[in-house]
Amino acid sequence: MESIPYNKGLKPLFYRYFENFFAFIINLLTFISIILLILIIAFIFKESVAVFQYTTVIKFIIGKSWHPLADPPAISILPMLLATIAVSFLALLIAVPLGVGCALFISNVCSENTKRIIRPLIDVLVGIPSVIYGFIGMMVLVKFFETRFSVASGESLLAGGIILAIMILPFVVSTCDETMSKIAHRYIPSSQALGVNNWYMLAHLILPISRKGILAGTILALARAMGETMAVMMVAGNSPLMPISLFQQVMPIPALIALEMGSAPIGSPHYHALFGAGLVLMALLLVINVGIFYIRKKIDF
Amino acid sequence: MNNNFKFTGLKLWCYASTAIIIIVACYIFGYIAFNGHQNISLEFIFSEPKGMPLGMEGGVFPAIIGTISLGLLSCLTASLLGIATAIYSCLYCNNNRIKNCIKVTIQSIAGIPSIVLGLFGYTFFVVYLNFGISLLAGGLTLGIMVFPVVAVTTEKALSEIDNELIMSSYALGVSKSYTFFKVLLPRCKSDIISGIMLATSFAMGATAPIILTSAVIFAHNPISLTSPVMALPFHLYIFATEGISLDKAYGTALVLLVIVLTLNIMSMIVSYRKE
Repeated sequence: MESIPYNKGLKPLFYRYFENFFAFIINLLTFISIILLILIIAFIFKESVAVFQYTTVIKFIIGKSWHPLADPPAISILPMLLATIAVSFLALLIAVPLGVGCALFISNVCSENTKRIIRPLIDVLVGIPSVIYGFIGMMVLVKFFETRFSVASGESLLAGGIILAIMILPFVVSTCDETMSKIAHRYIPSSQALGVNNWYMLAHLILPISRKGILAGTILALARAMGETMAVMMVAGNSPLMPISLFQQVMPIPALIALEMGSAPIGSPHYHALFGAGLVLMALLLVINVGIFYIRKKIDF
Repeated sequence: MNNNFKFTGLKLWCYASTAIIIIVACYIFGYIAFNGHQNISLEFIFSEPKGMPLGMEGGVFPAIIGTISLGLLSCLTASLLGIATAIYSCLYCNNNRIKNCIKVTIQSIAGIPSIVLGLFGYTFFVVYLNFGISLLAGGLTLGIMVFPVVAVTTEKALSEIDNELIMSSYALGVSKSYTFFKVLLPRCKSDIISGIMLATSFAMGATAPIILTSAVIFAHNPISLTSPVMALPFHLYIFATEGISLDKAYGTALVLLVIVLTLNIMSMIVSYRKE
């Protein structure tokens, strides 16, 4: 490129050097971002393979107990894995019906002005730090369970599920609203021209067509829910038990890592076991996320 | 008749779920604001934690400074990485396969749970690179956590610009860097800034990564890159779970909420104003 703009008294040579420098920096930084993912996976993997000196892969995933300090250490993350899944699905069970209903309302029922008030309110919910959700859960939800249901401890699977549901609601609402608004935009003119009742259109047109969008939103919310640490950790009770009842104390994988990492000496079986738990969680979420990427590409409305 | 019944159900569902969400949202803000404002004073904001056990008296000033410096460091990391990847895939990359690869990578990093990134920060920055539990390790980890936000918003802003504009700029023989700074940047400046502010607000509110990489219960104020720091979210977590002082916990929660939401709302305003 010889004909670089020549103005402000700067020499063309400067521009040429600058262009090369700029390209170099951009290439370098992009390379770093790509390498980062590989680094993250490699380091987590490297630290977690050592755990298989003490246990086998199958035992690690489907064994029954977590006593990493015993001799020999019993290392199995099944209770935590099941707890992670139970809490996330409970959250989805609460959040998806509410979120879809709200998305229907703001995309099709209310006026533009009302939408302009409700949407930011819901978007701001995403910005609240998870530790504050956990704090409110502790102060309000856990206390409520303890006084109302006279259970031994209000910290439970149910409390974790409810707090998590509130946290993932904004994701469900925004993805569903996006899909539904697009569909509504496409079909409203013809449906109005035919004199179809607005509610009839919602039930027989918008909802069935946006099924895939709702599914994508649900999976996205599931991924968020499974990786959430603080909010769940503060209300779920944190004992490594199998999730059997709603009022049981459970410990999902992120809580396990956050709580026990501080007391695990570097290089001990406990340390490697925690990295192993992290690896399982990361693998699960990577699969879900790459899945979402391709699903979204396919069902792009 | 049957149809009417069905529509009533649908109507009820829509209105009820929206009402529940709005009530919950207002309750959260109201609860923190109501309980927090009684415990906030200038002294609370501008003094160090004191008393026995630590934090019974005094304030949260070092934690505020710690959170802000973590935010700045992660903002710097995230904007460098995020904007660079977006520019690369918009201007420099001609291969669709590489573009897709970058997109999948960013999506994957965005999907890694924050606690696993904390683990990575711990083994890579703290142990392997020997930074120790420090501001630097925490800031870099948080930066990695939120850079996908910047990357995605910047890429979206750049791709919304008319391609003909870029083509005409090239046709005039203008270099890529000059095109970016003089043609593209003025058009998407507000979107990029909004993305960076959003990312910073997420980084400042995150707790899980800094538990493992940089937060401590008490640190003195003049902080350096290599020393551990106090941070508001971690401070709140400790106060809430150790049961040291609930009043101080409410105050800390309100300060944290105000800082994070100010950034968050400012980012919304910046991006709305453009429309």
